[in-house]
Amino acid sequence: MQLNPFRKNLRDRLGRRGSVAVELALVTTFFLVPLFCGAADFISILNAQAQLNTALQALVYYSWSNTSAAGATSYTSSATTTAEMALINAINGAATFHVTLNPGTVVGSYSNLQYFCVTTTTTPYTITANANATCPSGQTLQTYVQFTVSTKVGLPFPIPLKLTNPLPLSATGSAQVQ
Amino acid sequence: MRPALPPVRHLWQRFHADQNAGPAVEFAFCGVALLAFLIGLLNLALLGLDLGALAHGVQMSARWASLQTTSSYAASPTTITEPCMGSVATAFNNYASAVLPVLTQPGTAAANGSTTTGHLTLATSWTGTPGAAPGVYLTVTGTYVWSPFGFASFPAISIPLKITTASTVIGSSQTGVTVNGTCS
Repeated sequence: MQLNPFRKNLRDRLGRRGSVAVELALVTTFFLVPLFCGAADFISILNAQAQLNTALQALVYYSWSNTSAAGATSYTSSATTTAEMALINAINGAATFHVTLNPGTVVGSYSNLQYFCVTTTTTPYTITANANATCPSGQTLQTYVQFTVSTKVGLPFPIPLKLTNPLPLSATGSAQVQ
Repeated sequence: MRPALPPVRHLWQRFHADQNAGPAVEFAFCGVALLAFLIGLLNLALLGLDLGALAHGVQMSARWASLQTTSSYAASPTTITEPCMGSVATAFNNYASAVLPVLTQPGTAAANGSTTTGHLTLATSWTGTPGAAPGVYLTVTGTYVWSPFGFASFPAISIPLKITTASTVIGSSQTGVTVNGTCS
């Protein structure tokens, strides 16, 4: 039996329209929507990381401008830890993301100290890591203070099996204080 | 003698029956997705630029203000003078105005306060006690409600960016330092 030409034409037209709609649905589902969800997650992570870096910068500036407090032997003193926490609390008071100042390896400290001994009698200078703040005779001590700050970002569109939600982020930086 | 033109009805039927434009229709739909992808890519780059400028401006203006306060030391009695909010806004403009809107000066000369221009806000707050760690410090918060390129007239499609930092005044944790009552 032959179809009425008009009805056949109509069926073809509707069929073609349907295939285009299916293509659009596929492109939207598997391309556009994941793209925008990923972008939203990426923006949240970017924003949090920028805040972390800024908080780290504040601690590093504090260390540079208060070298005796940040370095030497007083880095575990209550005044130093209070000062560091005051800065972090000031930032947390206004920031969107809660920044945590991680504890140092020494109990009561928020920072880690690293010691290096520099030999300046030969060129180029030689720098060797040292376990403590005492260098052999003829060498100069360099002290670095290291901070680590961290936060957790709640992702607007969690990606299953790939990124944990909330996503932990951290930033670590060092400054020479002696 | 010229051949007679086909009636309009025949032209319309031929146009309607023509199926050669299928790829063009598909491209039209895929083109939308491609365009959205490219605009998204462009916007991510612009967002990174704006966020970087905001963070840099906040950090550097806070640093500038604390160093300015440090250099304002006056002996006997030892006083420090904090820069006014407007000066911090000017410092922020110097570091970020190439990318972000230029902040207007606040109407009053105060050390603490905020100024807003369009979607950009800068707030400053001096706290801390001289003589006690960490001394006097400035907290600066920059907020920028970012809109994607091409969507400026849609407030619902905007992302608030916020960066806060704190900067201490060198030496203000020493005892005997007092803060001048007025900013300069």
